[in-house]
Amino acid sequence: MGLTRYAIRRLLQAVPVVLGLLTVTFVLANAIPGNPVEVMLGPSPSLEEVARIEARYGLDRPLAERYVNYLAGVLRGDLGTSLYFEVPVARKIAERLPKTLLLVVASYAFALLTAIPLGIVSATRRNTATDHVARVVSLLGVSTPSFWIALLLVLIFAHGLGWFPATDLVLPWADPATVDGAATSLGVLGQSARHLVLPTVALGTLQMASIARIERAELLSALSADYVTHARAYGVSERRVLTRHAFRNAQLPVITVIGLQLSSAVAGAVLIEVVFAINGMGTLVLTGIYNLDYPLILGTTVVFGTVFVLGTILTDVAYAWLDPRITYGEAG
Amino acid sequence: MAGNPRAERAEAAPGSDSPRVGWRATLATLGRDRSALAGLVVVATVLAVATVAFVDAVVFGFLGEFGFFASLGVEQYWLAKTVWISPTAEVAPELLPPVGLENAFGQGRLAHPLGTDDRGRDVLLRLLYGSRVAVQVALVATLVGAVGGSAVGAVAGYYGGWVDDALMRGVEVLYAIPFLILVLALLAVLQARDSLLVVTATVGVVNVPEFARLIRSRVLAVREATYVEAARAAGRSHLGVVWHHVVPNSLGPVVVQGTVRVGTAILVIAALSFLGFGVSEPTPSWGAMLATARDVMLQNLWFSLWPGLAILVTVVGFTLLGDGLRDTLDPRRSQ
Repeated sequence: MGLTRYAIRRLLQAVPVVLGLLTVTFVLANAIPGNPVEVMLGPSPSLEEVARIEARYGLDRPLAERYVNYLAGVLRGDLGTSLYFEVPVARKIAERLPKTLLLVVASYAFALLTAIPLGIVSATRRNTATDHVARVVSLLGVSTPSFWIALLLVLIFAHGLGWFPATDLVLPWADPATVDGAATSLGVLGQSARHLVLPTVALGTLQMASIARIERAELLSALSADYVTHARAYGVSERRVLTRHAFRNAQLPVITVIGLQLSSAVAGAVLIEVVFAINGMGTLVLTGIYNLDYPLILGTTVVFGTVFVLGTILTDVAYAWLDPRITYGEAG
Repeated sequence: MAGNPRAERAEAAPGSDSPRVGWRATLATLGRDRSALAGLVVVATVLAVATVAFVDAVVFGFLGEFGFFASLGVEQYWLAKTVWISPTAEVAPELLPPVGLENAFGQGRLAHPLGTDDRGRDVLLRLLYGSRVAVQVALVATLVGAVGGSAVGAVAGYYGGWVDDALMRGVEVLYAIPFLILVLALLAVLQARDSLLVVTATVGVVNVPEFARLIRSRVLAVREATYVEAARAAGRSHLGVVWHHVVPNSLGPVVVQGTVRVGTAILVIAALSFLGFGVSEPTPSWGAMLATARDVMLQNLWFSLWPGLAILVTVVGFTLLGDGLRDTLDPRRSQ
């Protein structure tokens, strides 16, 4: 089976998972004991008002009908109407998702760009001072709460030194008229970069440290493998041993960890958005939860879940692409 | 970490397939590994402090509700009050800095070595008592996840076929929701924003997929082993094979994973209480302390340091111990 077929197969396998996800979130959201109508209208609303609102949001229909309607709606890209914002959930998510994606992608870029060199240096100069420093950095990185890093960064670099802003994110493609301190598109880009630095470092540190740890461990075991000893015995240079033999083989578990980190990256994004007061998906989820806005909780969870499933498939395909031994799924 | 003995050991026995090392041997090997030993010391200290806090806050609080113990003067935070002050007592002016330092609210005092929080409560004492929430939730949640996940993974891996498919698809759905979102959604649904029990249960459930996958992969490897075939041929039941051969062969990785997961769970709990879930005032917890610290960051920056450091040191302890255990119990995955 070719790689494309494998990718398609993985995508098809994801369909029941996403369906399960939709079902689970639907059941969860409809099990909320508090009455969302009460949240909207305050205590003791009139009966007519309640009936009007329930009819408007379809809350007066039987549960099974609501479930079918919900699934049909999702297929059309309709995630219902937010009770709190009183606008379509899909629109709200479309508004908020870019900032969160920007944050997560930036933190991954930061993590990969720092972790892989860190892991390589650590593994090739094992037990030197450089290795020890790199190991301590990655140990601290996996053990520090991201929101505390965020607090310290704000304290030092925003309030103390005033180098970077302490709140919000600016999208690089935003309209210059809506951005403070930027007159041109280039200015917006600069503001966007300035805003992105602290949240990216705060969120990316955990990913960086986890990837660096696994990179070092895997590279070390690859470097002590028989085929590497063999290559060395043939006089292959140490550099070539690393780049041609050890590195690629060591990347498989690294890719797995990168995929697994997606979940904590998303979780971290929620916290980082809170600390930096960023209007992203994380603060949107929290708004939904604090206000019992179940269409909003439902919609955001589904979107988070779908993004995560796609990320997992992406890592699986990357894994298969890198590992020639994988037969793209055994029979059965 | 210089001259790390575990590296040499790992090379000496790279193919060793037996994680069944006696506890005495495990401890002896750990004792020769300096970073693992440091981890062990940190973990033991935190566990000891948390145990004292648990007895004083939870057990004494519970006993104090009974006439007999109340007549003996036993009540919540009895120990802390007897030795020093209650972690919930508001005594000093607001936001004192640590000893020897000064801020807008006055000068640090010896009675409050690390200063006070925004309500004038002693930070050091709240820090010590805050360990209780972290340790209690993390230990129980990890246990729930390890036992539940191992059961699911063992059954799925051993029986294979549709059982495997059904269970692992279920696990995958659970896995497909980023864990914090899942925990938050569950807490919202159950309307239990400040119930520690519900937080523990949900974090435990969220831990299931990881252990299920781990055990399943081990079981898949063990299932085809000759000795399993021999046991089956000798007439041992499926359950017997799982219990006598599969479980002991998978215990090492579970212990290793469990130790690391306790550290991760502490981070999750800190995050949840930072967002205002799981604990409510006046119960001390590290995450909630950081949430307060964030609000008063500019008036007293020291207050932002301590809870974060406490989390950091604790998690480092569990990570180092987990790494050390991995080297002794699961030699193939070391370094």
